[in-house]
Amino acid sequence: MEQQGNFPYDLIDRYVLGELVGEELQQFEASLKDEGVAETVAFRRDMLLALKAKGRDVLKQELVELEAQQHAPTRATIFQLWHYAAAVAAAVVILLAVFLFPSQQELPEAFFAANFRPYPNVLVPIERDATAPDMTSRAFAYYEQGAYEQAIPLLEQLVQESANPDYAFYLAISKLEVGIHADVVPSLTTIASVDTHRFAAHAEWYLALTYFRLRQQAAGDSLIKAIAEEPDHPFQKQAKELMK
Amino acid sequence: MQNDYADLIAAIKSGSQTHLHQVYLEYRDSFLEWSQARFRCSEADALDVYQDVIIVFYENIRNGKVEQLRSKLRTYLFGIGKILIIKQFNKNKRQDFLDESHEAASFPALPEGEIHLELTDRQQILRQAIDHLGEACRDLLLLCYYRRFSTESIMEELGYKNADVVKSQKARCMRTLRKRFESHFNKDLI
Repeated sequence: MEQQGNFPYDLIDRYVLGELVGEELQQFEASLKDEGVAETVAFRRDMLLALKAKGRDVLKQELVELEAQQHAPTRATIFQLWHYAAAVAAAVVILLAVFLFPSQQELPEAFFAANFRPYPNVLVPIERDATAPDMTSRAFAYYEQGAYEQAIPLLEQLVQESANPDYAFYLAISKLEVGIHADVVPSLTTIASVDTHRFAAHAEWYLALTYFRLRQQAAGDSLIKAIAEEPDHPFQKQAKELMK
Repeated sequence: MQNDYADLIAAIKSGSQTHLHQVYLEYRDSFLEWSQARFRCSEADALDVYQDVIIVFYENIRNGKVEQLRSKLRTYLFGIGKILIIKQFNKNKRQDFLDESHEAASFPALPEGEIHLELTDRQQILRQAIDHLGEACRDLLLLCYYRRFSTESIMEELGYKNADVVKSQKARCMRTLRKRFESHFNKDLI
């Protein structure tokens, strides 16, 4: 679950929105001594106010447009014509795309193979001459060698025994490498949901590829589009390439 | 009688812009006529205030401050309008209505803070960062935090397949927003 320390962000949001009462409120207020929680609360509070300002602007604009439609018919008609023209143009583009380019849905296996690359091991440095490597080192040594079948049981054990959430990411990649696709969707989704997770953004990319592989085109498309729109995303370039 | 508007309020609370637009159109002409005659303001100013009135009305419903109306909707909207106009005049030091300004401070229907929010520098930067988010992120965050839609309503509104997708999209958008916010300060430090 997405959280700051012991507190899920949902709880922080409810506090900021003034929705906590009684014991829940008291418990939360006691936690504000924690610098991390206090900082997150301050950020969320500023963000809410900024979103409030933006929300009001959007609503105001909506009313201004309603006003223009209802009380300036000529302008409204032109506006609607532009919308129709844009819709027709969009339909033409979509039809061209369908006829001219091969659909990703037609060849999910080939598409996945062409775009999937295992993420390098940046977590556990491997000492080649270690005499008695521990389980973590062995798991990642297998991973680096491309021996994913051997890496998987060790990584599974690490995920179960360790509090380090990064192992789940490498387990998911290993599973994808050996052709276990459906199983990784929940874990990649979880990793992508935690905005403080170091591999959250990476998990999104692999999740998108997995969706395509599982023929869930719409889910893959929307994720690729989102990645392509995110300037700092580590896979933005690849996502943009795919959208071309 | 007091629950005459219960369905309307419930519909707006659940996110129906159509119902909000209906309210806007229904009382628009009479509000403009009344406010121009009562406060001698221009049509453009009256219209601007009326749009703010609808925003206040919407926010009060969304915040649960309006579950039912004891008065007629017209009376309620005009009451908000009157206070907003007086506050505006007060700000502009228009003497002829200053004696009514005490009403503005005590009117319970006004939202928290001013209708035109005065943001701190940090909040301004966040506001700009929100502007620069992709449309999908911006819409999602506004639905979550401004319009307070439930996860189910967001799924329906934005066409997401399940609650997990909404959750992960929301986390991704928050991450992007935070990064942009932090990068602004990092840039300043360099």
